[in-house]
Amino acid sequence: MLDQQNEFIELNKLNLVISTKDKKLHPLQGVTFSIPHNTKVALVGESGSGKSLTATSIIGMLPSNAKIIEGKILMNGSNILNLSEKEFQHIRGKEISIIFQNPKESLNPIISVGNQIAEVIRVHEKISRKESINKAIKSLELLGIPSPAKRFEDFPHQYSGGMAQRAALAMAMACHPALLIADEPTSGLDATLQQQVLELLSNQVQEQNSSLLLITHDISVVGATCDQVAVMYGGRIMEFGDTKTILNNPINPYTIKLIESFRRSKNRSMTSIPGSVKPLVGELKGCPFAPRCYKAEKYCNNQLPSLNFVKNRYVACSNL
Amino acid sequence: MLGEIDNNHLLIVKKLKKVFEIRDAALRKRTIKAVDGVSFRIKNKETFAIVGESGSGKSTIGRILLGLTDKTGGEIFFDGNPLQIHKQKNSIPLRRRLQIVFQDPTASFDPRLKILDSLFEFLELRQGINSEEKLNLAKELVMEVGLDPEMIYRKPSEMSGGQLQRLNIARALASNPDLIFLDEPTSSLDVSIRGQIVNLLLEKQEKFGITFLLVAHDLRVVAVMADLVAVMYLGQFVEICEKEKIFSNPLHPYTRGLIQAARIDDLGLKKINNLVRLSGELKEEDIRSKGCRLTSRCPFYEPKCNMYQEIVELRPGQWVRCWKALDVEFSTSNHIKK
Repeated sequence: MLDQQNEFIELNKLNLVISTKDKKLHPLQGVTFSIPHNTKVALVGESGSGKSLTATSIIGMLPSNAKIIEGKILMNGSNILNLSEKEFQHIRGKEISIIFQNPKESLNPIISVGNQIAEVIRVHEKISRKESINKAIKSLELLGIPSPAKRFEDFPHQYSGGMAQRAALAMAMACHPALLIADEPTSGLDATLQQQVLELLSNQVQEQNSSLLLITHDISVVGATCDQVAVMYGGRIMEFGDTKTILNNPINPYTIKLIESFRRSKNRSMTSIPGSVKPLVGELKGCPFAPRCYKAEKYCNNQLPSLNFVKNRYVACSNL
Repeated sequence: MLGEIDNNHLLIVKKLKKVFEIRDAALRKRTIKAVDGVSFRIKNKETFAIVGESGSGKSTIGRILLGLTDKTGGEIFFDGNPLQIHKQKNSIPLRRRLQIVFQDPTASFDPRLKILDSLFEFLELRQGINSEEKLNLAKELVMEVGLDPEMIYRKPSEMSGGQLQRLNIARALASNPDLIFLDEPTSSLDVSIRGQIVNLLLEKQEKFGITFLLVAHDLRVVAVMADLVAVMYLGQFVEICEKEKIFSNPLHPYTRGLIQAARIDDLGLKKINNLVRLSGELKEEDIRSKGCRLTSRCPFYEPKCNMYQEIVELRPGQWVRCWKALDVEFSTSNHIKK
């Protein structure tokens, strides 16, 4: 989008439908943004905005009742949506890897942490068992786990929350993926630990010249971590561009309110947005934020705003 | 400590202690000091906030207050009298006066009961009102929290998280309480709803003259709601002072680490030199330490920190449990370049 040559992943008007027994939900309706090489991008949104589904679409881990009905996901320029599951397995872990919110749930409880990391390395790099073990110990050490050779043998339940997230990160980074997707990686952790893990994540990605897609509901962690930020609401990208530009000078009303709610209020009242997030049942006719927006005009409800390049960022709003 | 006691103090807590006894898989006894000699007071109609990481013991204080668990030691005075909520004789009037709003709104309603019935249980604490009055009061309460009165005929499963949290507040207001313990009232809600709930709580506090004990890890909520703030680490208060000072001039290294990590003023955009960076994470073992419990994580540690430390008034109205705090402040001044 910004620089065609340098894009690693490009999402183009992605439309996704989830079919349940009695209805069809449309959680993603035209998601468009891109992740350049060696760049850290944040995808920010509240629950129900579609941010996690966007991530699972990229890595091909959608639930079985979800279907992409329109749009493309390009990796280095070629569409990865029509790949078979077998072809996708070569991408997953090697090109794109992912870590989740709850690290203990993504580790196998009956295999030692070290062996799980070594296994990932063996699958993707044709090396011996012994070599893979050494590599795994090294990656634990790199992530600041004390006495890594001893910790290699430990099982997930012997790790604390922060350590388990480090181990999950070691596993995800073991094969030097071009893109790491981190889905709410620190939401279950306390503030001081959150900072440590995010710094580590950010450094790892930078050292390996990878890209990062950080999915989070907390826009306050974005400033110190990411180069670019995409704000999502109701299955659409509301604003996308350089982190500093957007955090310092947001222009989409939703982004403005979201950022305001994360800044410390000096009065005795807090920024709030009236109403609540509505589940996306039907196809959108107008801006998804219009019913809650302080700037909304009548036409906002019946015309879908397109993503336009305004003041150095992409923004979707009909009433700027 | 903390100045003179006067009639205006609704709640006085002295050297409160709570020790949990746990048996591990091999049935060996183990004790955990969740609250270790905590003292504070709350004035009428004010909000006292306790902040800290999970495992610091902050929720336990509120649970003791409401009689949800027994204390091991110390004293609690509520409105001038020792608080004995578990004694059957006093319990009903006390339960009317002390209420709670839990963290997870979906888990704090009986899924089989209509909202109406949940509210009735609490309205009964008011005693001496007939069923017609009860119904009217229930509808009034639901309107009070900004919802449609017809909602009382619904069940919890038909409501969103934000609506249920409003009803949670309505339920706490039902008995016309003097003090409400707010246990992380917004942490399971989305940001856009969080502001609505905080503003609602403030409005009701003003209107009904309620005192709040707030436990939260979200410093933005504390910044708006609190009058006094206590920072808790492994069962002890490490700093107590007015809200403004906690944000503008924190003294204890832990408080500094906590506030800087939250990046609430700059959203992480500005470079902070001399950041007070806490390493590692909260460990239960550190509670056995005789001295400061933060030693394993503190960047300013020196051997003297292993000696017992009292919480002392380092600046007027600012109580800190760190002998080094003022030196540390000097060495890291200008740490945030505005």
